[in-house]
Amino acid sequence: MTISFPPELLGAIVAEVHSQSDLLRLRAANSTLNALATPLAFRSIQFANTDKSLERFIRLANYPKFSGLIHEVVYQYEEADRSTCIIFIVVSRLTLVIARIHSL
Amino acid sequence: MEALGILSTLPALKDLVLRFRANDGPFRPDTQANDYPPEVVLQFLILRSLGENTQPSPLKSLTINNILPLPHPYLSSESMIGLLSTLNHFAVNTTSHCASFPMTDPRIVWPSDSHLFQKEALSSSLVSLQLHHACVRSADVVVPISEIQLPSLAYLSLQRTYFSDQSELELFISRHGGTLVELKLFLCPMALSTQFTSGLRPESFRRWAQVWEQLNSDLTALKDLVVSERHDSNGVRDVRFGRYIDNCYRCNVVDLGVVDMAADDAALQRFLENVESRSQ
Repeated sequence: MTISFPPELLGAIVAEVHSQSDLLRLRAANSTLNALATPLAFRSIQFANTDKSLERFIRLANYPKFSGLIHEVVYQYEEADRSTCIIFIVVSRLTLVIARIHSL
Repeated sequence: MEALGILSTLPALKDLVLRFRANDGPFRPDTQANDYPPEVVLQFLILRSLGENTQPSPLKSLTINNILPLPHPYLSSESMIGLLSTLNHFAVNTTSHCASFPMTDPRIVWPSDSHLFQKEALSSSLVSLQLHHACVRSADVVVPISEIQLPSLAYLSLQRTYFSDQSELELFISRHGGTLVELKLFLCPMALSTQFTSGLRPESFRRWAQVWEQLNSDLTALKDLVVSERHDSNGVRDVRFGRYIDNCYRCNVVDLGVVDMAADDAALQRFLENVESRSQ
Protein backbone atom coordinates (compact mmCIF):
# COMPACT_ATOMS: atom_id res chain seq x y z
CA MET A 1 0.00 0.00 0.00
CA THR A 2 2.88 2.39 0.75
CA ILE A 3 4.23 2.04 -2.82
CA SER A 4 1.63 4.49 -4.12
CA PHE A 5 2.86 7.30 -1.85
CA PRO A 6 5.93 9.37 -2.69
CA PRO A 7 8.70 9.08 -0.04
CA GLU A 8 8.36 12.78 0.91
CA LEU A 9 4.69 12.27 1.80
CA LEU A 10 5.41 9.08 3.73
CA GLY A 11 8.19 10.89 5.56
CA ALA A 12 5.83 13.70 6.53
CA ILE A 13 3.28 11.19 7.83
CA VAL A 14 5.85 9.22 9.83
CA ALA A 15 7.19 12.49 11.30
CA GLU A 16 3.80 13.03 12.92
CA VAL A 17 4.08 9.76 14.86
CA HIS A 18 5.46 10.54 18.32
CA SER A 19 4.85 7.33 20.25
CA GLN A 20 7.99 5.22 20.36
CA SER A 21 6.01 1.99 20.43
CA ASP A 22 4.13 3.07 17.27
CA LEU A 23 7.41 3.99 15.57
CA LEU A 24 8.85 0.59 16.48
CA ARG A 25 5.79 -1.08 14.94
CA LEU A 26 6.19 1.02 11.77
CA ARG A 27 9.82 -0.12 11.52
CA ALA A 28 8.62 -3.69 11.32
CA ALA A 29 6.08 -3.05 8.52
CA ASN A 30 8.42 -2.89 5.50
CA SER A 31 11.81 -1.61 4.41
CA THR A 32 10.55 1.84 3.33
CA LEU A 33 8.86 2.52 6.64
CA ASN A 34 11.81 0.99 8.45
CA ALA A 35 14.15 3.54 6.87
CA LEU A 36 11.82 6.43 7.73
CA ALA A 37 10.84 5.39 11.27
CA THR A 38 14.19 4.13 12.59
CA PRO A 39 15.88 7.54 13.10
CA LEU A 40 12.77 8.82 14.89
CA ALA A 41 12.29 5.70 17.02
CA PHE A 42 15.77 6.01 18.51
CA ARG A 43 16.05 9.79 18.61
CA SER A 44 15.11 9.97 22.32
CA ILE A 45 15.95 7.11 24.66
CA GLN A 46 14.82 6.82 28.26
CA PHE A 47 16.32 4.71 31.00
CA ALA A 48 15.52 4.22 34.66
CA ASN A 49 17.13 2.85 37.80
CA THR A 50 16.11 -0.72 37.13
CA ASP A 51 18.31 -3.55 35.89
CA LYS A 52 16.09 -4.27 32.88
CA SER A 53 16.00 -0.63 31.76
CA LEU A 54 19.74 -0.14 32.23
CA GLU A 55 20.59 -3.31 30.34
CA ARG A 56 18.38 -2.24 27.43
CA PHE A 57 19.92 1.23 27.32
CA ILE A 58 23.51 -0.01 27.47
CA ARG A 59 22.82 -2.62 24.78
CA LEU A 60 21.27 0.03 22.53
CA ALA A 61 24.03 2.57 23.14
CA ASN A 62 26.69 0.00 22.32
CA TYR A 63 25.05 -1.00 19.04
CA PRO A 64 26.63 1.25 16.35
CA LYS A 65 23.59 1.14 14.05
CA PHE A 66 21.45 2.83 16.73
CA SER A 67 23.92 4.75 18.93
CA GLY A 68 24.47 7.33 16.18
CA LEU A 69 20.74 8.07 16.04
CA ILE A 70 20.37 9.00 19.73
CA HIS A 71 19.98 12.77 20.13
CA GLU A 72 18.38 12.81 23.58
CA VAL A 73 18.86 10.68 26.67
CA VAL A 74 16.37 10.83 29.55
CA TYR A 75 17.03 9.38 33.00
CA GLN A 76 13.79 8.85 34.92
CA TYR A 77 13.91 7.81 38.57
CA GLU A 78 11.45 5.03 39.25
CA GLU A 79 10.08 4.22 42.66
CA ALA A 80 11.05 0.70 43.60
CA ASP A 81 10.68 -1.30 46.76
CA ARG A 82 13.26 -0.47 49.39
CA SER A 83 15.31 -3.66 49.01
CA THR A 84 15.64 -3.15 45.23
CA CYS A 85 16.82 0.44 45.84
CA ILE A 86 19.37 -0.66 48.43
CA ILE A 87 20.75 -3.35 46.11
CA PHE A 88 20.96 -0.82 43.25
CA ILE A 89 22.76 1.72 45.46
CA VAL A 90 25.20 -0.88 46.79
CA VAL A 91 25.98 -2.08 43.25
CA SER A 92 26.40 1.54 42.06
CA ARG A 93 28.78 2.29 44.92
CA LEU A 94 30.76 -0.86 44.24
CA THR A 95 31.02 0.15 40.57
CA LEU A 96 32.39 3.53 41.62
CA VAL A 97 34.88 1.93 44.01
CA ILE A 98 36.07 -0.48 41.32
CA ALA A 99 36.39 2.38 38.82
CA ARG A 100 38.42 4.33 41.39
CA ILE A 101 40.71 1.35 42.02
CA HIS A 102 41.26 0.97 38.26
CA SER A 103 42.18 4.65 37.97
CA LEU A 104 44.89 4.38 40.67
CA MET B 1 26.55 4.50 36.46
CA GLU B 2 27.93 2.66 33.45
CA ALA B 3 24.96 4.06 31.53
CA LEU B 4 26.15 7.63 32.14
CA GLY B 5 29.70 6.73 31.11
CA ILE B 6 28.28 5.70 27.75
CA LEU B 7 26.83 9.16 27.09
CA SER B 8 30.14 10.52 25.84
CA THR B 9 30.29 7.76 23.23
CA LEU B 10 26.98 8.72 21.60
CA PRO B 11 28.05 10.77 18.55
CA ALA B 12 24.73 12.58 17.97
CA LEU B 13 23.80 13.25 21.60
CA LYS B 14 22.69 16.84 22.18
CA ASP B 15 20.08 16.76 24.97
CA LEU B 16 20.25 15.20 28.42
CA VAL B 17 17.28 15.11 30.79
CA LEU B 18 17.71 13.93 34.40
CA ARG B 19 14.56 13.35 36.46
CA PHE B 20 15.75 12.59 39.96
CA ARG B 21 12.30 11.93 41.46
CA ALA B 22 8.99 10.62 40.21
CA ASN B 23 7.27 13.81 41.50
CA ASP B 24 7.78 16.74 43.89
CA GLY B 25 5.68 15.25 46.71
CA PRO B 26 7.00 14.71 50.24
CA PHE B 27 9.94 12.38 50.65
CA ARG B 28 9.19 9.09 52.36
CA PRO B 29 9.74 9.46 56.12
CA ASP B 30 13.06 8.09 57.22
CA THR B 31 12.90 5.09 59.47
CA GLN B 32 16.46 5.21 60.73
CA ALA B 33 19.13 7.81 61.34
CA ASN B 34 21.37 8.17 58.27
CA ASP B 35 18.78 6.41 56.16
CA TYR B 36 18.74 8.75 53.19
CA PRO B 37 16.01 8.50 50.56
CA PRO B 38 17.24 6.32 47.69
CA GLU B 39 16.40 8.93 45.06
CA VAL B 40 18.74 11.42 46.78
CA VAL B 41 21.55 8.87 46.99
CA LEU B 42 21.06 8.18 43.29
CA GLN B 43 21.10 11.92 42.61
CA PHE B 44 24.51 12.12 44.29
CA LEU B 45 25.83 9.10 42.42
CA ILE B 46 24.63 10.39 39.05
CA LEU B 47 26.07 13.88 39.60
CA ARG B 48 29.30 12.29 40.76
CA SER B 49 29.43 10.14 37.65
CA LEU B 50 28.83 13.18 35.42
CA GLY B 51 31.45 15.13 37.39
CA GLU B 52 34.01 12.41 36.77
CA ASN B 53 33.44 12.40 33.02
CA THR B 54 36.57 13.63 31.27
CA GLN B 55 35.33 13.37 27.67
CA PRO B 56 34.48 16.53 25.68
CA SER B 57 30.85 17.51 26.15
CA PRO B 58 28.45 16.99 23.26
CA LEU B 59 25.55 18.59 25.10
CA LYS B 60 23.54 21.57 23.90
CA SER B 61 20.68 21.16 26.35
CA LEU B 62 20.59 19.94 29.95
CA THR B 63 17.38 19.65 31.96
CA ILE B 64 17.60 18.64 35.61
CA ASN B 65 14.21 17.91 37.12
CA ASN B 66 13.19 17.29 40.74
CA ILE B 67 16.69 17.93 42.05
CA LEU B 68 17.16 18.36 45.79
CA PRO B 69 19.11 21.65 45.97
CA LEU B 70 22.06 20.45 47.96
CA PRO B 71 25.56 21.61 46.99
CA HIS B 72 27.81 18.77 45.90
CA PRO B 73 31.58 18.95 45.26
CA TYR B 74 31.24 17.33 41.85
CA LEU B 75 28.94 20.11 40.66
CA SER B 76 31.85 22.55 40.78
CA SER B 77 34.43 20.15 39.36
CA GLU B 78 36.30 21.07 36.18
CA SER B 79 34.71 18.16 34.32
CA MET B 80 31.21 19.27 35.29
CA ILE B 81 31.94 22.85 34.19
CA GLY B 82 33.31 21.41 30.95
CA LEU B 83 30.12 19.41 30.50
CA LEU B 84 28.03 22.57 30.94
CA SER B 85 30.29 24.79 28.83
CA THR B 86 28.63 23.93 25.52
CA LEU B 87 25.01 24.38 26.62
CA ASN B 88 22.51 26.61 24.85
CA HIS B 89 19.66 25.60 27.16
CA PHE B 90 19.93 24.90 30.88
CA ALA B 91 16.93 24.10 33.09
CA VAL B 92 17.06 23.40 36.81
CA ASN B 93 13.82 22.45 38.55
CA THR B 94 14.25 21.94 42.30
CA THR B 95 12.07 19.64 44.35
CA SER B 96 10.52 20.01 47.82
CA HIS B 97 12.74 19.85 50.87
CA CYS B 98 13.97 16.65 52.44
CA ALA B 99 14.07 16.32 56.24
CA SER B 100 17.30 14.30 56.04
CA PHE B 101 19.05 17.41 54.70
CA PRO B 102 17.82 20.35 56.82
CA MET B 103 19.49 23.02 54.68
CA THR B 104 17.14 22.17 51.81
CA ASP B 105 14.22 23.47 53.88
CA PRO B 106 13.36 26.92 52.46
CA ARG B 107 12.30 28.02 55.98
CA ILE B 108 15.95 27.84 57.04
CA VAL B 109 18.53 30.48 56.07
CA TRP B 110 20.47 29.35 53.03
CA PRO B 111 24.23 30.01 53.46
CA SER B 112 25.06 33.01 51.28
CA ASP B 113 28.15 31.35 49.82
CA SER B 114 26.43 28.07 48.95
CA HIS B 115 24.94 27.52 45.52
CA LEU B 116 24.02 24.37 43.67
CA PHE B 117 26.20 25.55 40.77
CA GLN B 118 29.05 28.06 40.77
CA LYS B 119 29.00 31.01 38.37
CA GLU B 120 31.47 29.25 36.05
CA ALA B 121 28.84 26.57 35.44
CA LEU B 122 26.69 28.97 33.44
CA SER B 123 28.27 29.13 30.03
CA SER B 124 28.39 32.33 27.98
CA SER B 125 26.79 30.27 25.19
CA LEU B 126 23.51 30.01 27.12
CA VAL B 127 20.51 31.30 25.21
CA SER B 128 17.83 29.85 27.45
CA LEU B 129 17.77 29.55 31.24
CA GLN B 130 15.04 28.07 33.43
CA LEU B 131 15.09 28.18 37.24
CA HIS B 132 11.95 26.59 38.66
CA HIS B 133 11.28 25.71 42.28
CA ALA B 134 8.68 23.38 43.80
CA CYS B 135 8.42 25.72 46.82
CA VAL B 136 9.30 29.40 47.25
CA ARG B 137 13.07 29.76 47.14
CA SER B 138 15.76 32.21 46.19
CA ALA B 139 17.36 32.13 42.73
CA ASP B 140 20.69 32.11 44.56
CA VAL B 141 20.02 28.57 45.72
CA VAL B 142 20.81 27.44 42.18
CA VAL B 143 23.41 29.96 40.99
CA PRO B 144 24.93 33.21 42.33
CA ILE B 145 22.89 35.41 39.98
CA SER B 146 24.53 38.66 41.15
CA GLU B 147 27.80 37.47 39.57
CA ILE B 148 26.36 36.30 36.28
CA GLN B 149 26.19 38.02 32.91
CA LEU B 150 25.10 35.91 29.96
CA PRO B 151 25.73 37.78 26.71
CA SER B 152 23.26 35.76 24.61
CA LEU B 153 20.47 35.10 27.08
CA ALA B 154 17.18 35.40 25.18
CA TYR B 155 14.77 33.17 27.13
CA LEU B 156 14.34 33.24 30.91
CA SER B 157 11.75 31.31 32.89
CA LEU B 158 11.37 31.53 36.68
CA GLN B 159 8.97 29.72 38.98
CA ARG B 160 8.37 30.28 42.73
CA THR B 161 11.51 32.40 42.81
CA TYR B 162 10.96 35.32 45.14
CA PHE B 163 11.72 38.96 44.44
CA SER B 164 12.52 41.42 47.24
CA ASP B 165 13.83 44.88 47.97
CA GLN B 166 17.35 43.49 48.38
CA SER B 167 17.05 40.73 45.79
CA GLU B 168 19.51 40.58 42.93
CA LEU B 169 16.89 38.88 40.78
CA GLU B 170 15.38 42.08 39.40
CA LEU B 171 18.85 43.43 38.62
CA PHE B 172 19.75 40.14 36.94
CA ILE B 173 16.73 40.43 34.64
CA SER B 174 17.37 44.11 33.93
CA ARG B 175 21.01 43.39 33.19
CA HIS B 176 19.90 41.13 30.34
CA GLY B 177 17.41 43.64 28.99
CA GLY B 178 19.25 44.05 25.69
CA THR B 179 19.01 40.35 24.76
CA LEU B 180 15.95 38.94 26.52
CA VAL B 181 13.10 38.32 24.08
CA GLU B 182 11.00 36.10 26.34
CA LEU B 183 10.37 36.34 30.09
CA LYS B 184 8.12 33.93 31.98
CA LEU B 185 7.31 34.34 35.68
CA PHE B 186 5.22 31.61 37.28
CA LEU B 187 4.02 32.12 40.86
CA CYS B 188 6.88 34.46 41.78
CA PRO B 189 6.01 36.43 44.95
CA MET B 190 7.45 39.65 46.36
CA ALA B 191 8.92 39.05 49.83
CA LEU B 192 8.42 42.08 52.05
CA SER B 193 11.31 40.97 54.22
CA THR B 194 14.31 38.71 53.79
CA GLN B 195 15.38 39.00 57.43
CA PHE B 196 15.14 35.66 59.20
CA THR B 197 14.67 37.14 62.67
CA SER B 198 12.34 40.04 61.91
CA GLY B 199 8.66 39.43 62.51
CA LEU B 200 7.63 42.99 61.73
CA ARG B 201 6.42 44.25 58.39
CA PRO B 202 9.03 46.72 57.08
CA GLU B 203 7.94 50.32 56.54
CA SER B 204 9.18 50.36 52.96
CA PHE B 205 9.37 47.49 50.57
CA ARG B 206 9.48 46.90 46.82
CA ARG B 207 6.12 46.99 45.03
CA TRP B 208 5.35 45.02 41.89
CA ALA B 209 4.34 48.29 40.21
CA GLN B 210 7.94 49.50 40.66
CA VAL B 211 9.32 46.23 39.30
CA TRP B 212 7.09 46.33 36.20
CA GLU B 213 7.99 49.97 35.50
CA GLN B 214 11.70 49.21 35.83
CA LEU B 215 11.56 46.11 33.64
CA ASN B 216 9.39 47.93 31.09
CA SER B 217 12.15 50.49 30.80
CA ASP B 218 15.08 48.03 30.77
CA LEU B 219 13.83 45.09 28.67
CA THR B 220 14.06 46.77 25.32
CA ALA B 221 14.08 43.58 23.22
CA LEU B 222 11.28 41.72 25.00
CA LYS B 223 8.59 40.30 22.71
CA ASP B 224 6.90 37.73 24.94
CA LEU B 225 5.93 38.20 28.58
CA VAL B 226 4.08 35.68 30.75
CA VAL B 227 3.16 36.50 34.35
CA SER B 228 1.13 33.75 36.00
CA GLU B 229 -0.26 34.21 39.50
CA ARG B 230 -2.52 31.18 39.51
CA HIS B 231 -0.91 28.33 37.60
CA ASP B 232 2.56 26.87 37.50
CA SER B 233 4.43 26.17 34.28
CA ASN B 234 2.57 22.86 33.91
CA GLY B 235 -0.82 24.53 34.21
CA VAL B 236 -1.41 23.22 37.74
CA ARG B 237 -3.32 25.71 39.91
CA ASP B 238 -1.67 26.81 43.17
CA VAL B 239 -4.26 28.27 45.54
CA ARG B 240 -1.61 29.12 48.18
CA PHE B 241 0.07 31.75 46.01
CA GLY B 242 0.09 35.37 47.15
CA ARG B 243 1.49 38.32 45.19
CA TYR B 244 3.15 39.55 48.39
CA ILE B 245 4.49 37.40 51.22
CA ASP B 246 5.61 38.67 54.62
CA ASN B 247 8.94 36.91 54.60
CA CYS B 248 10.90 34.68 52.23
CA TYR B 249 11.13 32.02 54.96
CA ARG B 250 7.61 31.97 56.40
CA CYS B 251 5.82 32.85 53.15
CA ASN B 252 2.57 34.09 54.76
CA VAL B 253 0.46 35.86 52.16
CA VAL B 254 0.08 39.64 52.68
CA ASP B 255 -2.92 41.51 51.30
CA LEU B 256 -1.89 45.11 50.59
CA GLY B 257 -5.39 46.24 49.71
CA VAL B 258 -7.25 47.16 46.56
CA VAL B 259 -5.42 50.44 45.80
CA ASP B 260 -1.92 48.94 45.80
CA MET B 261 -3.03 45.87 43.87
CA ALA B 262 -4.70 48.09 41.25
CA ALA B 263 -1.46 50.08 40.87
CA ASP B 264 0.44 46.80 40.32
CA ASP B 265 -2.12 45.62 37.77
CA ALA B 266 -2.00 48.92 35.87
CA ALA B 267 1.81 48.88 35.69
CA LEU B 268 1.80 45.27 34.50
CA GLN B 269 -0.82 46.12 31.88
CA ARG B 270 1.37 48.95 30.52
CA PHE B 271 4.33 46.57 30.42
CA LEU B 272 2.30 43.87 28.62
CA GLU B 273 1.00 46.37 26.06
CA ASN B 274 4.49 47.66 25.38
CA VAL B 275 5.81 44.12 24.89
CA GLU B 276 2.88 43.24 22.64
CA SER B 277 3.45 46.29 20.46
CA ARG B 278 7.05 45.16 19.98
CA SER B 279 6.04 41.67 18.89
CA GLN B 280 3.82 42.89 16.04
